[in-house]
Order: sequence, then C-alpha cells, then structure tokens
Amino acid sequence: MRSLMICTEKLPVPPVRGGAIQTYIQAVAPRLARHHQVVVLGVTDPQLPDREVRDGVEYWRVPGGPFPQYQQRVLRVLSKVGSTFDVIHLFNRPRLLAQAARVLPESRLILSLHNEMFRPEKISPEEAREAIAAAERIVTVSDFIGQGVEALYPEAKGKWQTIYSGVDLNRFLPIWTPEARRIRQRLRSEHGLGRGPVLLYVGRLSPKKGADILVRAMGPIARRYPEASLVLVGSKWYGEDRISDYVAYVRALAARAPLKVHTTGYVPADQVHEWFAAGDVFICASQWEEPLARVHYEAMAAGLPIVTTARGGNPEVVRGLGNGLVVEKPESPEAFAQAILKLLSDSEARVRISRRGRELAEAHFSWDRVASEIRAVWERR
Amino acid sequence: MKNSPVIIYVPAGAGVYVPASSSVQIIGSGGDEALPQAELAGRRDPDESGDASGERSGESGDVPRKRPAERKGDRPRLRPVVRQGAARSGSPARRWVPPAREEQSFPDLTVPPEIQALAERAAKAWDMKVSGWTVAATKPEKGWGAIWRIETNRGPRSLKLLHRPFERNLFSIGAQDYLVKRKARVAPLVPARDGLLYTVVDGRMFIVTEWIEGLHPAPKDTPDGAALLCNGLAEFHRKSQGYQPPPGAAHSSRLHRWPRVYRKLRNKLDWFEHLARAYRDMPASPVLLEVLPRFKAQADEAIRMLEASAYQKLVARGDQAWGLAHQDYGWSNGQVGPDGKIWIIDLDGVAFDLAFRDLRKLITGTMDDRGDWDLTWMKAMIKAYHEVNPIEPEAMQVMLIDMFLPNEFYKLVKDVLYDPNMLDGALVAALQRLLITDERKQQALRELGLKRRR
Repeated sequence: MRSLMICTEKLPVPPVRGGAIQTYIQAVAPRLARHHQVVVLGVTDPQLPDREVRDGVEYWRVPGGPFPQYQQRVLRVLSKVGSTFDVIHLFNRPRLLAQAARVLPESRLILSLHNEMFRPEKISPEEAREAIAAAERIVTVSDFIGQGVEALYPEAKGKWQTIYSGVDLNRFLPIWTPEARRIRQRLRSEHGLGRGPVLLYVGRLSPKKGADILVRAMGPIARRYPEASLVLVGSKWYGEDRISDYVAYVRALAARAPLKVHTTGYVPADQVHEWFAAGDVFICASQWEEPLARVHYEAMAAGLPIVTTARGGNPEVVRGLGNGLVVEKPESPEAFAQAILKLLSDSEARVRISRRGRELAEAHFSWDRVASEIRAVWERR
Repeated sequence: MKNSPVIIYVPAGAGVYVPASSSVQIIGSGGDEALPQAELAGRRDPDESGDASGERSGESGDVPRKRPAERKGDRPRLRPVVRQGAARSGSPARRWVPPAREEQSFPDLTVPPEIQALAERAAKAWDMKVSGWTVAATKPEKGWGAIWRIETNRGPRSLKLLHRPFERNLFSIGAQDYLVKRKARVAPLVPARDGLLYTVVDGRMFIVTEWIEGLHPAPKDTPDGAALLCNGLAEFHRKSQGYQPPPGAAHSSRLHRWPRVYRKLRNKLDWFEHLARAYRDMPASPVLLEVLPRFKAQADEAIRMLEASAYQKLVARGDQAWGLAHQDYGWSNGQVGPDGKIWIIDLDGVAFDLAFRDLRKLITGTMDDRGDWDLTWMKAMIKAYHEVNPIEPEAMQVMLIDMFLPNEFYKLVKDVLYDPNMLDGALVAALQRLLITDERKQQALRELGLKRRR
C-alpha cells in the first residue's frame, strides 16, 4: 500500500522548529513505513532538502506560507500524482480535505484532527459537511475533539475514532532509573533547586495555559514545603524582543512568590525530557478547552504524578486511571494547592501513582501503539 | 550613491547613524521641526501588542503626560538592552551625537549598518537617484522597522521598511493604493521599476511613497483642530469602504474581535488585583485595590452592554461595508497639509473594523490627555465626523459603550505589569486624578446619550 501523509502549512517535518503535529508525524511515519510505502508532504525549510528519504519515509516539501497558497500547492501535487496513492491521510485541515476530494473523488481520504478545526470560525458549514462526507475516517486526538465535531455535525457519528497520541518511551525515562537520577541531580544543582520537591510545568506562557494560577497557588505549598520550587519550562521569559503583557504579569507574580520559581526560557524539543527527569509532580494548569496536551503522556512516561484540569481532552488520560488528579475548578489557585499538597504529603501514594503512570505509558501510549492503530485505519481493519 | 556625499538631517535629541562607506555631511540640528513620523519608535503594534484597548501612549504626541519621566509607555519599552549596549560601545561605523536636550522619551533615530545597507539596496529597485538619507523613525522591536526621508532626483520621498509579515503588509499596501485611487489624502505609493508597489530585499519588505511636504499638527488649543482631525478621519473611513485585499494578502479584520478585546481588558484588571496583593507593601497597592472594584464593574457592564447592543447586527454588514480603521490615528498620524486638509500617514496597521473605533480612540485619548472630559470638545469631534461619515444611533451607542470601557484606567495601570515598582507614590496621585476625571467622563457619557440598563 502506498500512502501520502499531508502535514499542515505551519512547520516542517521533521520538527526542526517544533510543532505537535510535526512531532507526531515524525514518530509514526517511519513505523508505518515498515509496512507501507509512505510519503510525507509538508513545507520546505532552509534546514531541509526539498526532497529526501529518511528512516524509510519519502519527504516531499513545497513552500508553506498562508494556508490558501499552501493549499494550492498541495492540490497541484494531488492532481498530478494523487491517484497513485491508496490512502491520503490529511492532518488537521478539513478544508484541504474538502478540496482534495474534488480533485480526487475516487481516493480514500483520512483526516486526523488535533484541534477543534470544525468550529464555525474555522470552517463554513458547507465545507465542513463536504469534508465529513469525503472523509473515510476521522481520527481524533481525544474523545473531546471527536464529540465536538459530532455535536456540530451529527453526520460525523460513527466516522470518528480517537487514537490517543504517544510518547517516546526511551527518551522520557522514569525518574527512578539511574540515568534519570543523574540528570535530575545535574539540573537541580545547576539551577540551585535544593532538596525540596520540584513542581514541574511545561508549556507556553499564555493565559490559556494557566501558569499564573499555578504561581498564585504556591502560598499553601510554601508553608508546608518551604524548600519546594516551581519550575516553568518552555516559553520566552526574558525575551530579547518584547514580552507579552501576560509574561510580564507572571514574572512579576513569580518575583514575589513565597518559594523559588525557576523559569528555563525556551528549551529545545530534544532536551525537554531532561526537565521531566528533574520533577516530582507534573502540573498541567490549562484553563482552556484543550484538545489533549501531549505533556500528559510525557509525564506518565517519566513516572511523574499528574495534576491536570477538567478541561477539554485532558482528563481523558488521567481521570480514574490512578496516574494523577484532576482539578475540577481550574481557575482556583486553592484547588491546585490542594491537589499538589495531597500528592506531596503521601509519599506512598505518590510512588504508586508514579509507577502506574509509567505502566500506562508503556501499555497504551507508545508510538508503536499509535502507529499500529493508524495502520489499522489505513488497512480498514 | 557611493561617491556622492550623504546628507544627514539630525532631529533634535537623535543619535545619528553614519554609514561607514560614505562621505558624510551633517546638516542642521533638526531643531524643532521634528519629522511627522518621529514618534513611531516605541509604539506598539495594534495587532500583536495584546494591548486590550489598542491604544498606544505614543499617540498623545506632545501633549504633556501626567507622569512624563516615569511613564514607561513613552519609551520603546522593550528595546533590547543588548542591542543598545552594543551600539553605544560598538563598531567604529557608528557615531552617537549626544541628545541636544534632555528628552528621555525621544527615540534614538539610528538604524544598524546592516539595516541601512539593506535600505540602500532596496532603493535601487525604484527608478530614482537618491542623494540624501535621513532616518525619520525607527522601530527596533520585531526585527526592525524604519522610515527614511530620501532626497531623490524626483523630489523628496519616504522609504519605509515594514516590520510586519509579508501577507499583512500586502493587505496594508493594497489598502493604501485603494485609498490613493479613491483620492483620499494619503501619500501616493511609488511603483518600483518592476511595477510592484513594494520590493523585497533579503526577505524584508520596502515601500516608497511621495513625501508630503509641509505637514503640521492640527492646532490643539481649541476644539476646531480636533474637529478638523475628525473630518479627515471620516473622509478616510468613507473612502476605504469597499476595499478588497489583493490575492495573497492576509485578511486583516478586527470587526468581530470587540467582545474578545473587552474580555481581555477585564482579565487584566484581575491581574492588577493579584499584583497589588502580591506587592501590598508598595504605596499604590492599597489605593489600587480600593478603586479596582469600580473599574471592574465598569468593564463587566461594558461587556454586558456590548452583548445587548446592536454590535452583532452592525458587524454582520461585513468588512467592506465598514471599511478600514487606521488603528493608530491621532494628532501625529493625522496632520494638516498645505491644502489645509488632514493628511493621514503611517497606514501599515490598517484593518477592517467598525471604523468609528478610530474616532472613539481619538476622542478618549484627547480627553485623557487634556485631563478633562469636555462635552464641547466631544460634541464638536463627533459632529465633525458625523457630517462626513454619518454615525447612526445604534452605532453611536456602540461607540459610547466603547468609551465606557475603562480604557484610561487600564492604560494608566498597565505598565505595572512590566514593573511593579511603578506602584509608587506617583501612581497614587495619578489614580486620584483619574477618579476625578472618571466622574466627569461618566457625566459626559450620560449627556452624550449612553443608555445604561441599571
């Protein structure tokens, strides 16, 4: 079988500039290529050749730019060679799928949805219906995303299925392994994190992600664990250019926090796992209806107990699974403090939750599992 | 250009970049004849600033600020310290002329040598001979934007390095061209040799326009000057109606964004509260905590009023019906030309919007700067606008709601996010003044017919 995976216009695959979808495709494409001929169509990048074969996957790259231009370029490719593929798997662009169906009415089109791309502000009802009708399957990253489509367009019922994303189990090592411990020691001493528990947040600093709420939750934690520290990994902090009002705000809060708040600034994608090794509790403070943040899988693989929020798809991989706690009132700093203290104060439970997280990651959230589920969709099994 | 002398005009208080390769002649000190766009530096981008009201403090021109020296907003806030340091101690190609007078807020009108070189290469795309270069405005953030006044064999022109993304610039260039064709008073774009209205050098986009000579600010001492500005604005809005962005341009519209902008401002009032609590030992924190409920209630009410208003009905008419708002209109981007009419410059932030948003910002900005909400002024401004581009009653309500939003309070306090040390005695005094003017504002809005539903 010959399959074409079509990436979004934003960033190149492999993810030399980051990107969740790009990371996802890079992880699954080589695994799928063991069974099928796989071509990935995406955008060009100065760091990457316009065509290459790597890890058994063929990459075709066309210039990116704004979506309409990218769409035209992709459609040109499809009209030329689209019919030579058995399956065309498009990522996160239902509008592109609707257009592709016009060029290739006979082809099998599969749509992966990583965000709420069927929301009215993203796609007109006509195009949405056309895309749903043309898609053979719609693969979603969480039930939240699938249910969202179905709520808007009941005809999607029975067409969508969730394939939860995955994590690199060899990179994200559990905190109890010797290697993770070494990294942990190094980072802690490098950044003066002391002996207290490290509360880990990984993500952009934006109001949607709720780092401010977390900083404001530190009061009760500092009273019980004065040596604890909060580590914010990810976003621009002391930017060379201007920072946003929000980052300024969080920075001002952090300066008065009752415990150490360490911010790392941007950490390259291939180094983020080290911070997971240094943590004791992982916190996702998302305030918005998030599709399902991949950091949950990474935290599980690292064996970190999770505190997440009842928003979007996030609770789907935590609630009732014994790998962490779900904060039902994400806007409340007190609720976060309570959940974090609960985990910190019971070391036995914490160990149990840690092990459970890693178990779940190994059993359900490996890239092998993701790839095999996609393969089943391709093969109509 | 290599062998011809470079003439450099030095605006007051400016540091001067001297190209390494050229022979250089410096003329004049610039004196008081500051160039019209000179306040561009330090402005924030209405699209990306996150500034909920969309207003920039630079807009106030030379109206005295309440707390001039301390106001961070008057300076290019996040100018990279690194760059500045490097520039001062840096390469021999640079020379810094010390400021002629102490004026902290005046931008350093220099560009790095590589930007100057880029501009000189870009200028070659036009059929003109450049004999003199003057840096008229700079925007060091976001990888540099700048404006040069260039002396050419075809008269004085303006060369502008745009700092926004390519597709966004296409939108604004298309808009400016559309306005020129409809005989609006904006600077005509000069096509490059290849016929395009812009050129791209090393991925950076440049435009050339004719330089409008003899622009001067509208008189500020009577409502007449303000009315003139409103007149010109209304004409600009009218003529911008029907604009269709060219293919490939970003579609830049703020028409549907108002509710989001209101909510963002409201959220930031919560941030103020959290910071005032975290910094409760600072002089202004208690006062801030005391007045916040008043302004939060105003923001909440504005949100409710907008929801209940004709806003949705109005925006449903669509982008083309409303035309473009300048988004940064004020006493410096609208100036009186030799014909006695208002000319509008600096169009790169234009976006579709309920166009009267510009009028709202001009009115509230002017009132805020005057420190008083003078009904005579407000009425004169609205009338002058209305005569050229009528505002129907429902739209008028929406504009009044937009005025009701506590924009001035927000602007006064927002710099605290960047520097909590600004929760100082000066802020206490400024808040006390604001409370007084806010009473006057409420009164003025009532008299203008704002319908509150309490």
